[in-house]
Amino acid sequence: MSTPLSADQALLGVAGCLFLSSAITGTEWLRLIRSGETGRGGLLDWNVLRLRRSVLKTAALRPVDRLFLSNRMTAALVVTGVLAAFGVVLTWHTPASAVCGCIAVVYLLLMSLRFPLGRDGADQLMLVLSLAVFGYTLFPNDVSATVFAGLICADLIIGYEISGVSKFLGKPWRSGTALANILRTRCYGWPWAVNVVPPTLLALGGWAVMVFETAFITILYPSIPLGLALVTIGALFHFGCWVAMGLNGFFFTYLAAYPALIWLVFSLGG
Amino acid sequence: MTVLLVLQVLVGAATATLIAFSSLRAVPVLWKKLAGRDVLLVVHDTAYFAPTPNTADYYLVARRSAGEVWNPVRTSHRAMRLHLTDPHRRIRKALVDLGSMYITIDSARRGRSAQETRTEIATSVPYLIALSTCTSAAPGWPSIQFGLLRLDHQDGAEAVDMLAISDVHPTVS
Repeated sequence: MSTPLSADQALLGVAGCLFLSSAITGTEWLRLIRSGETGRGGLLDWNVLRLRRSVLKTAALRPVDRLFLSNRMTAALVVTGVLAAFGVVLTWHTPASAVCGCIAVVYLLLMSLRFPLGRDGADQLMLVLSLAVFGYTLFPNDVSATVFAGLICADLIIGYEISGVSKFLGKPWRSGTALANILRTRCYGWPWAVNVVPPTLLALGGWAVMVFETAFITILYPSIPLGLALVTIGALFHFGCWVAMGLNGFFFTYLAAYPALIWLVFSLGG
Repeated sequence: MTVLLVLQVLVGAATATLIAFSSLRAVPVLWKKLAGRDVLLVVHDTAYFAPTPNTADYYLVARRSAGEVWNPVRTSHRAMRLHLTDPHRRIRKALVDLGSMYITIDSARRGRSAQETRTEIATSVPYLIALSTCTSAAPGWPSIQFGLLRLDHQDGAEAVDMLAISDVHPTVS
């Protein structure tokens, strides 16, 4: 029985969604550069961030240092990275796709160096996804498609498990107060919701998150309805995090990986 | 074609290694030995808000001299709207990262006095970035002192904690 989504198509889906995620984060970096936050006196000023031992002691980073000292060059780097992500999709199944994939990965690594502050788990996941897509584009075939799509699924499943188990190990989560306390913050929270939603519901919400993340590994069970249900709940969960916590990056980056999960669900269930 | 295959295997190995390290990261005892090598901070930390979630807001504040009122320079407040793009989330996260760095610096002092570690702290990147940001935000001030304030929201009560207070630094006009 053939699956409706091949591993190759799944990876193309990942690449497409990665471009969207890259465009969104790229726009954010460009707006930050324009606002002056990455220049002199900004919280992300390279003149200060370059003083890290890891940068000062590495001679090979000197050309990169010169690049980052210029906001215009940094902006050009961002634009190049986003265009490369688009190029991967546009030139799929051609050697140019691998070149674009390589540029996209190098771009993300350079951004990791440039911004030791302000990046989060979504950025780290984007690198894993970009590496997997780049790796596949080097020599596309059924075996490599399966391997790289499988690696993406492995990263997601392991990530959800670690997140879920870590929460179970945390007393605030087990006691049901974690979600309410997070939502009380102005940084990642929604204080209004804490005043309106009953504490019991918030505690149940916290437990639902823990159970969902820990149970995510059941996506490996060969059941298409179960797998699609998990994928749907996951999408809704990340959308909820976007709405309640302002985590837009997580929604787009995690969903970028979901085509690979859908491929996995149909492959196992079929 | 062989070259491409070899490259593909290497990239695959790198991807798998990155995933393996992200799993290792969940085990503090094992991660402690490797953490220093992750200079690019690329290893995926998937224990989001766990086991102990962040329940604090951070404020970078500044004043002309000791005894004066603190003025906010950067806050981790979020506008309660759905944003497709939100550049300020990088600033919010940067403040949280600064807070975490200061907590790490503080615990690394290992019982040494503030005087002993003064130079070490004053030349650290978190200190310098905070000083630079505050100085830039207050042009015309003859001197500046900054602070990193943490407002913790635990079970409805708010606890204020000054994570760091700098020396009073003369500014160059």
